[in-house]
Amino acid sequence: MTTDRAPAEGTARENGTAQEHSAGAARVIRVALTGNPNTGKTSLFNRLTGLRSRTANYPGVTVEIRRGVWTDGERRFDLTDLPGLYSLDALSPEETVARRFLETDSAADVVVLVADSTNVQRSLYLASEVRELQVPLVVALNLSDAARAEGIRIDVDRLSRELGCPVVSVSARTGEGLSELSAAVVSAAGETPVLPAPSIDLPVVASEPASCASGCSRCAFAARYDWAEQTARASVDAPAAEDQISAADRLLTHPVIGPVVFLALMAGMFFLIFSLADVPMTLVDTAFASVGDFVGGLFPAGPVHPVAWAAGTVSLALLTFAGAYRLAGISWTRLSGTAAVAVASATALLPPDELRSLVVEGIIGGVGGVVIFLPQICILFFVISLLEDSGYMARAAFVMERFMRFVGLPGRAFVPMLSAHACAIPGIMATRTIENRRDRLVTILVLPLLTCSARLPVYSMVAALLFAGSPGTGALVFTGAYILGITAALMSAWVLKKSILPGDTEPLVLELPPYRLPALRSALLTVWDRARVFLQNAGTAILMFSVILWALAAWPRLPESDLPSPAADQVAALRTEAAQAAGDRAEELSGEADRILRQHQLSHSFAGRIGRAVEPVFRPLGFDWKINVGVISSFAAREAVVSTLAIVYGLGEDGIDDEASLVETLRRQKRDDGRPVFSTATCLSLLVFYVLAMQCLPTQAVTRRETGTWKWALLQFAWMTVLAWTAALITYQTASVLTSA
Amino acid sequence: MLSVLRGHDGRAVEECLETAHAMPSETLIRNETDRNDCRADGLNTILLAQAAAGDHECVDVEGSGDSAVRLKRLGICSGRRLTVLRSGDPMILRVVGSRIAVSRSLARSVVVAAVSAAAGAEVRSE
Repeated sequence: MTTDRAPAEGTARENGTAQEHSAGAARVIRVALTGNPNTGKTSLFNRLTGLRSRTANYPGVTVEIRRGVWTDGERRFDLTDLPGLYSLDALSPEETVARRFLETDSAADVVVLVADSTNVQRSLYLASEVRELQVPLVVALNLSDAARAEGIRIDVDRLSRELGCPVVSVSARTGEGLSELSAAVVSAAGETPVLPAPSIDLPVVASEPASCASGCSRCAFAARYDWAEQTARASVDAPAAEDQISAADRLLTHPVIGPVVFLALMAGMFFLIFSLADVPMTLVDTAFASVGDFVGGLFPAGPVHPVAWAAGTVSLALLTFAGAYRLAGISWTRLSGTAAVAVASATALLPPDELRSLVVEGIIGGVGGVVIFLPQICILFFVISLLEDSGYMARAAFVMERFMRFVGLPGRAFVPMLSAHACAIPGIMATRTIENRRDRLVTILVLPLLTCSARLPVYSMVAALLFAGSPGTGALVFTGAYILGITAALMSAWVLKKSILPGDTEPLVLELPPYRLPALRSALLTVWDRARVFLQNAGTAILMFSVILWALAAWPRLPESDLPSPAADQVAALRTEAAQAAGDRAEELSGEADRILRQHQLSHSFAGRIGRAVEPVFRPLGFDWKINVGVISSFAAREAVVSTLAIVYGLGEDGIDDEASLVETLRRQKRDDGRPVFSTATCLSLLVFYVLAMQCLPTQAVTRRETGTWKWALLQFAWMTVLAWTAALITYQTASVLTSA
Repeated sequence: MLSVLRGHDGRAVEECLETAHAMPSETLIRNETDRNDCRADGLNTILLAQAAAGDHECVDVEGSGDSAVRLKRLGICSGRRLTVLRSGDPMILRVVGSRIAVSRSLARSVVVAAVSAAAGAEVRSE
């Protein structure tokens, strides 16, 4: 059904461009890029489009295709980068999309098949299939610089005659041949009757690959490869291929040295992430804080005329919506328009104070808490992209295959699992390299169990609570938490493969591409693309949930006059004192009053009420209602539990900056019966809970995006929550018995 | 078809395969008599999983599922030369000019015939 839309769009565009043409402008030609994996197709796309590209989901399926604009002088081309294919026998959803796109006559004006100059024969297989689709085709022999270096000479004219279509030598790296490519595309677009396809003596059943079950010698594969071999031999003069694997591969695919090298590389990547990301993360944090302060300062301090206030807020809110819709690519329909107007009117009903709190704490604070992980995500994708382009990633999948198969996952799942130790989001995005959908789903589902960097503040707090400042035992807490996360992920993968996603792991069939120097530009463009996808997520689903969580913690409001008696007296006393004091002292005193107010506000809010309501659920884990408030308010971002505990235990938000005083305060907390709240058993139980619980909304949003439905995101949430609760229960009960004995 | 086998007694090989392919594919492997017949004609068929490093000629790919298609579309299909670069699990082959890693479980479904060193050299020199 998805393909039906393409012709309609095509016609509409054609009409539009026909008018442009009469006005003197050149016609926009729609070009689809196809080709084998590892032929530098994406590098060519990046080279041609640069920043003028965007990633879009193919309608109806969760496959991403990238579109971009390529201009060559006056000429403008709309480029679509299709997923890589070895043949039109599509097996994965990505390949199906690529095939469907190629088979839809009007989806593109010209198909450019990107071939590998260093291995023309392999690319000719797909070329022969695409040729038979009767679409205007241009073959771009990419990597021509690499082929020259290897002493490979290609008779382009001869190849063009054999194929019956234009053939152009190009290099995405050096940029040579790109204007010839554009000329070839323009002339191919003008040709309505296509040249005859190469004649391959195909068996009658050629279109049914499954029918060559009994013996392949008569099937289309063999016939096409025979043709490809003959054609390549006639037009390519190449030195004999080596019968040995290269020295580099002898080491990198070695059963012992290979994994060691791989782990060393990954350790290096993590060192890079944690050492380089620190500075930009602090910058993001400070930037959001100062934007929050700035925006907070814009709100009028005194009373405002209600009509002026309403008009101002509604127009500002609508402007914000217009900007957001534009960024996220949402069009103004009746539904989205109504939503914008409704939300804009609702904001006008809020008094200035509430609106300031919403904007500063709910929106800016909530989104800032997620965007802070952007530097890590960018560095991770930069390194992964370089490793992928260099050809090393295939070797990594190769050496990890034997280890991963024990839990029923393919070797390719290892890199996402490792990335998830920085942040689950890039890990989930990196699962795209896993071909089999079932294997990919299992990997996505278990990734958030691995210890990401957002858990570190929680671990660090618990370690300090358990072992005051002793670094040795503190390290033990961290190591234990990491091991628990890895074990839980691998076990969950095993369980999922045995239960709801049964099936053998697809055995490995993998091309080990030649090593090449990765292109920096291409890696940076990949980072830019991934970062944009992440920010779009932050701008939509995450923003919405940030606002909901803000509302839960902010409402219902507790006016100062309604404070319970001891607190009310305390606040009143502080306020009076503050009024008499001057300067810093006055600020300090009123800050103290605000702090008490906030503490009671939180316990009075929906979040506080829910915390009390769920006490029976969490009591067996050793949590009191205040910890429950922490658990609930860190639903969207687990690290928020530290700041929430600081507020709910009356330390104020500044408490998080001073871990020592937070830990001191937490230690002093007593239960009704006089025992400390943060006993060893509770601390361990809290740690286990945070190792295993989902508690990360951005991850959920990305899971939904990558799997296509909320179903898998919900399953992931339910599974992890049950796992966390059960494990924390066992921990608390066991530890209680042991510590009391 | 089987053009790579020039230098061998191509005709005998082809006839032998023809007979084999007339039967269901399982028979090809399971029926020891047939395999011995082939061997008698100078074509030693073994499974790719057991193949030592060096040149081999792909004779047949068993099975009809996705796995078979994944092998065949990469060129692991009858008539192609498979050069085993490293045996083991997964093993590394050179097929149609590229290195392909194949897990042992899949290599068990590929039937290959040894190519003599002389024939191998002749094909390469072309």
